[in-house]
Amino acid sequence: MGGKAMLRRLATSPSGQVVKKQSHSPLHHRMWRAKWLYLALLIPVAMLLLFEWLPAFSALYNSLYIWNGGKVHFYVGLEHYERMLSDRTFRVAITNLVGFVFFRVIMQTALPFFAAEMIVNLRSQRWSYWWKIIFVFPMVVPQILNYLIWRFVYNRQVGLLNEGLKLIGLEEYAHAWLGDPNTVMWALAFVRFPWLPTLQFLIILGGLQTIPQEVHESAAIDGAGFWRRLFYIDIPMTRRQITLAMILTMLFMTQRFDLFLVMTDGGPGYSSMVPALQLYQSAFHFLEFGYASAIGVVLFVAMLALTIINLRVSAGATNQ
Amino acid sequence: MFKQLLALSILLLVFGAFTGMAQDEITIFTTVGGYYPDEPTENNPNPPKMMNTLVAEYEAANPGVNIELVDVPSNISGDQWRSTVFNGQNEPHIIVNNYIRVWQEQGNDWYVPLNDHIESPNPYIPEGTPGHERWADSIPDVVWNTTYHTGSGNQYVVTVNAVAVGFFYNIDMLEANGIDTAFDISYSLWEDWETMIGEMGALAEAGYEPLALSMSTATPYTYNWFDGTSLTSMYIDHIESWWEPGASWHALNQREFACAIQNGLISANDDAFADWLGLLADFEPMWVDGYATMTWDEAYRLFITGEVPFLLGNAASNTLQVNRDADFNWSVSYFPPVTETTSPHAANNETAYLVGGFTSGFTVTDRARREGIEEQVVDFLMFMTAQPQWGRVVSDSPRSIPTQYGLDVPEALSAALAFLDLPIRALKDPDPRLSRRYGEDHRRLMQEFFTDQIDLETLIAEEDRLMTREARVVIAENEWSCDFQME
Repeated sequence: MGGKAMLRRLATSPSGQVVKKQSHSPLHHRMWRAKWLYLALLIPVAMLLLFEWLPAFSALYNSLYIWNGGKVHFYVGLEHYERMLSDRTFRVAITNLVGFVFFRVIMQTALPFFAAEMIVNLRSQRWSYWWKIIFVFPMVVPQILNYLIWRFVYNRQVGLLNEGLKLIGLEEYAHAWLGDPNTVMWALAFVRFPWLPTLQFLIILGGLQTIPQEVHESAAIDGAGFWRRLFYIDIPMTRRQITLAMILTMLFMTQRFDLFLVMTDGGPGYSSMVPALQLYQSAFHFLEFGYASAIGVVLFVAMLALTIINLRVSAGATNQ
Repeated sequence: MFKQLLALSILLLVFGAFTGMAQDEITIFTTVGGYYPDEPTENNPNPPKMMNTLVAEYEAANPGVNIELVDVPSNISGDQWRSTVFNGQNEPHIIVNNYIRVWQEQGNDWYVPLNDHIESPNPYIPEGTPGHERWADSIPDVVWNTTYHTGSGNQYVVTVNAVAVGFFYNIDMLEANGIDTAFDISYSLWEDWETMIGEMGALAEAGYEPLALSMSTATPYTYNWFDGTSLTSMYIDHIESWWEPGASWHALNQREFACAIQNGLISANDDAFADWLGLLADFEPMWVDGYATMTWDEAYRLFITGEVPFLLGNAASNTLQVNRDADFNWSVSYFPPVTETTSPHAANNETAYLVGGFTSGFTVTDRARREGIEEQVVDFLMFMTAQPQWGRVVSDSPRSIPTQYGLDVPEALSAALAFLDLPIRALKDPDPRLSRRYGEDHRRLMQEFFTDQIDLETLIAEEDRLMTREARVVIAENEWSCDFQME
């Protein structure tokens, strides 16, 4: 009997269940024996606390202060939150964000789902593999490069979109897509068309692949076609993955400011302003770190609330 | 294994600390604006590299002193970069900065006042040349006076460059459309603002988009340039009453403009302000489609490919670029004056105003003091900006007009010299005029107005709210008194 097999046997109860290996030495003795491991663990934990958690929680504290990032630092209570209520920029930014996130959540969940469905239904394993590669490949392209490419697509002089319109005789529609308040948010929403984000795609694909083949075979015997199988088997059985993909998209899109910064800087006027960009500008353009922190706190609370609601709705639907 | 790794880490830390402590050499970190040495390329095998030569000469003459040229990252704004390096106490000892920024940032104690230093002799300036006895004498008073009005009475900036903006124009295209390309007045194609609008309007009717410019925040944001100069013209009869006591014509500092708002000397509800908005609204149809989010590079491409006849650019640094790229005849003109023809409020206005001038210069940062090397840092600054050295830098890379006495203006930039004779605009770009927040929100409000998202009434109401709030904020932050305007 090999070493691994022996260990498995020792850790398996007579009923065949894997049990925890019991240790008879006290916890502090075991910790002392592994002290170097704990010490080594301490460094990344300290880093995590210092560089991730502390800045995040310090936002709550700083939101109660006027702080210019330097010497000016004094307590103002909830003044920043009051200001936010009457801040026209923030209101416009929230309106823009809601529309943008709604659109992208739908697209970035539905299209990866259909892409994953397509792959799961392929008979050829080889083709399935290559399609996965094709869908995952964009992950290696830096985000900023994507934005610059899309900025070029929308370029009024030599952009792909305007050139395409000219080619098919729709020249009168060619214009500065990013410079027009009526088209700018749509133009931004279409960035990275056809919206196949790798992470969401892999999550949903993973969910679809866990559906037992027998279920699909039974459905086929019962005469269920593609659409019935989709709505009565695949979607209900991957609800958790779909929910996760939606939450992640919502979080990513709400936090997104680089897209808006690179493509339009929130313009023309405020027509593509979003709260994350306003946060960035408040902090780094105007040195209003207190107000920026308050925006961050509100975004955090809103995202947390939406995530909880989403999870509850999803859990409720699953239980039904 | 973990023990060994930990021990090695501690050893490295201790070694690093000791080697740091043992170091007795001085390293001066500096930014150099547009004068970084370039890497040779296939198309440009001998790029400007005079800064490297100067650094080598100084290091050779000062053993133990190292000079490091610090590149400002191009992917973040200058404001963001300064905020980061100053708050991290990692700022270079010398920074090239716009004097208006220095005014805005002086409350942070980031910069060392140079008052005493500029009164000292500069040993690097040859005997008999202005500045040898007194460093300040190497640069004309008009430059010092422009950058001086800090409210604190301190001089923080040594300005060795002058620039001016201008309309680059495609002579071939204008002549093909029957437009006269001779200057009406000494510095401009047009005698007044209305003539300019009329000629550009004729081009628009002929199917052209007349003027390429950028109103995005991507540098340079060229719309700002006529925002300030035209507003100056509209308030020509009032500006003198906004000055601090004893001042002569100058670019208003934040305090003067903020106090003028607080004291009710200027308001968005003024007729002159409404006339100014009307002037800009009449001009806006001449701008290229998409100007609101267009970068200057994109605007430049429209001009250089012959798609638009006019481009608003820097008449100094962009001249070299146009010279290199244009395959048509071109020249550069300045803004026309805004006169009575445009508005009764400009009835007494006789000239256009200089946009640009002595904008950027060298500042010495607080780091020099913290590290106790202020004298050495100033010595290097004296060396670099002295005529024998700076003359070589400008000849090597003619990007702007040198301000020091005794230096020749590069031939390519001679057209901009005529513009430099104009009086400086009293009202600078919206951002330095009052605050960054004002500049940014003003830009966005104007964009909303130009793109019909808000009407004139809303614009005036929003501008009034914005100006009043920002004036109150900057006055409170700096604890300024505004009584001087009421005396």
